[in-house]
Amino acid sequence: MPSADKQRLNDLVLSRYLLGSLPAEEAERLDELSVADDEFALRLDAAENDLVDAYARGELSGDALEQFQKFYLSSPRRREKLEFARTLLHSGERTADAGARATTRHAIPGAKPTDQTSQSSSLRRWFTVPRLRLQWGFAFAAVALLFGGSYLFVENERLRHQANEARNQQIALNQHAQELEKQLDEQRSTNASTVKELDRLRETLPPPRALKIVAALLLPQMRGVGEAPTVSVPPGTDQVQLRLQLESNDFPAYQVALRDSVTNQVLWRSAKLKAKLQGDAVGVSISLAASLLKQQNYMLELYGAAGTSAELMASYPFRVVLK
Amino acid sequence: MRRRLVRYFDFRNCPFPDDLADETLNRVARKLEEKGEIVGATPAHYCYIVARLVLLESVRRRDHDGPSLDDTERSGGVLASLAKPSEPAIDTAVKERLFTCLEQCLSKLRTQERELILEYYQGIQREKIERRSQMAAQRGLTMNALSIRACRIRTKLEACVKACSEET
Repeated sequence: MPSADKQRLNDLVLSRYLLGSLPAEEAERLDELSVADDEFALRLDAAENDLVDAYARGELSGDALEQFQKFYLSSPRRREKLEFARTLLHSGERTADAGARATTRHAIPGAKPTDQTSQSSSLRRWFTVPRLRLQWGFAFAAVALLFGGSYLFVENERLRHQANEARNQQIALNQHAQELEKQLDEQRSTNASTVKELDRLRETLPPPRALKIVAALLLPQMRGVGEAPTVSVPPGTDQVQLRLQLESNDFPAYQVALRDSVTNQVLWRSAKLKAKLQGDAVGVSISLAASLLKQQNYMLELYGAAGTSAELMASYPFRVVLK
Repeated sequence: MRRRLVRYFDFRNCPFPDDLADETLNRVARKLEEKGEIVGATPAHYCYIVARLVLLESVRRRDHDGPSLDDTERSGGVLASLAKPSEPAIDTAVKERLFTCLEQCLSKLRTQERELILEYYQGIQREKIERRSQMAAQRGLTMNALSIRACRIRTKLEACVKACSEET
């Protein structure tokens, strides 16, 4: 006999035992088992609960219903058991009704209406039944969210840091620009005051005067000719320009030396000069600082320069008179 | 064991199954004290043997003395106001008291026990069987193991509700 059928037969026997419908001998055998056999005792407990629940729900009928009322309910203890079953049943119905009407209900801790219990048990199944794929999916999603969140956080911090850096640089640049502007202003101010000072000095300075020059023409010295020509140098003279007339223009360049006739020292030498035609005469011109000359006799010696050699061509004596 | 004995005496229609169960256990305990061990039978089977003896004595006594007023009063418990044994008439106040006690007793259970007991007894007939099958699968239990677990929780609840209702 299949085990399911055997189970059903056993359940039927138990029901009959509970309803007092078994023959005395068989009932006594089950009496013994109900006390001495652990497994049987537990099965009998379950069977009794199911029987009582069935009666409470109105599922019993016919002989079973009659026997239940006549035999089972003859005991106060068993009647109490029925009342408990009814209370348990009604508590579930109460919460189901309350949930359906959305009204105030006596909330049994943890109790849910039938349909909600079904839903909640379905919900619980999602998390309690080992649905590995779903669990792994949730785990991966959680890890992905964690990494994503961490990456975004790090990126945010990096960008914030960059923004701060840029802001700081901008501030530094602005400050530098301000400093440069300040320096420029200071420079402008300094320039302005310098210009002012210059103007002031110009105003205080005497007007520039024209140079005082004395010019004279000197002829070469002739043998036996009289006194040397006099060059008058008034006070305040700046320069004495002397033109030395040449008898002939035989050299490409000339040089002039000023000799003190008293000490015979050369006081001054010119650079190489070129002779120039002035009028009908050819001559070279020199310019001496007036401060070089004293009231005395001097000699100007004219040298013809050719390459590195120089040849004395003529002498031009003169006397300086300071007036 | 005591609960089994109470049920045994109750199904034998003894008026005071609790007292007889206690008497049985006292005799077994005395025997153990005297002899130190129980030989020839398992402890549970020995309990049955003694219970059967106690039952016979009780029946003999009843047959001899007849039922008394005390018997009727003591056998009522919370439901002493029953009108007909076949169909107990429970007034609304009692029902409400029982319901309140059930609420309190459910709150004393652990969450897992509470959820199990409420779900186990939901539904009717085929739906109930399928629900229980699913529950067993969810918890990795056989149907039998689930049934045993539900029974134990229910027994605990029943005792709690009875104690509560007798207090109030």
